[in-house]
Amino acid sequence: MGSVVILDLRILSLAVPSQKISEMTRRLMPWLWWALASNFVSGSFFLFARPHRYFNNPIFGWKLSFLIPAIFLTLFFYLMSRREHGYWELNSKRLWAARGIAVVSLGLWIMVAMAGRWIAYMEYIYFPA
Amino acid sequence: MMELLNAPFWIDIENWPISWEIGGTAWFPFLESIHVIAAAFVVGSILMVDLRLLGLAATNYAITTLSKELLPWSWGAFTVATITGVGMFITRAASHVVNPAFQWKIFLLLLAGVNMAYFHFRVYAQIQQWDTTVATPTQLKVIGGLSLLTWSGVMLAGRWIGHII
Repeated sequence: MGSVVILDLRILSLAVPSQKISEMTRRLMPWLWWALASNFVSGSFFLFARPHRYFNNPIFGWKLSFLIPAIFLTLFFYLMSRREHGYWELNSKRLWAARGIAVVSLGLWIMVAMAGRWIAYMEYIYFPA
Repeated sequence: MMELLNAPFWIDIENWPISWEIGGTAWFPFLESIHVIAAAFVVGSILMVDLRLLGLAATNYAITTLSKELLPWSWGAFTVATITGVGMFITRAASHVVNPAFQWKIFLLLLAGVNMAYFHFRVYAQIQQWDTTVATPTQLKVIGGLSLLTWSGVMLAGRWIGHII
């Protein structure tokens, strides 16, 4: 989340002004994919351990519905940036598209973390034990 | 020390109206989620500077530039994490102060703070000579590595608090 968030913040001109979007994308994306893969592995351990806990929990569905679009959006951003050097900075139209993507991406990733945390709370707040 | 940790004062904190309000409502998970996201911001921004100090990442940027541009984010997020953290702490203050995971977390936080202060007040003034070099001197590598370790420990201990309590 750290790598994609800092990239989103850069696209929105909120952080690290000295770094270029294209250079950052190339440098940070490998970190993102590796971290995502390890999240996936450790997360599937939770799932295998107590599948009913997750499949019967509405928040788990919410989490997936934030996570899957977040991954696809990030992948789309990445693939486009690989197609052409400086793809997202080429003209103001693309830069605005990138900003739109950044806002949505930021929101999605924050909601993924939020929903992930609420999965555990759902049990004691809404399901009487 | 034990007397201080077992003092009735901590129970009094738990009985503040605001502690009851947070502990008994959805405020707690809400604060917790914000806390986790803020922690990700703190560690994410510090990690980038640490990896640069170790000469492992972002090597085409000067150390001073990275630290100047990332540190405000670390502090901003740290403030949010502290406020939400205190909000959660007061709901079960007496149990937290005797929770080993909580004690470790505070200890590691202080250690990380000392390391950071050492870097900024002792080393930072002479940083010009290595500012743009990839192969950083051992001193900077130790500081970066220590920061990486202590902050990872803070996160790990932080997560463990909830498993012990």
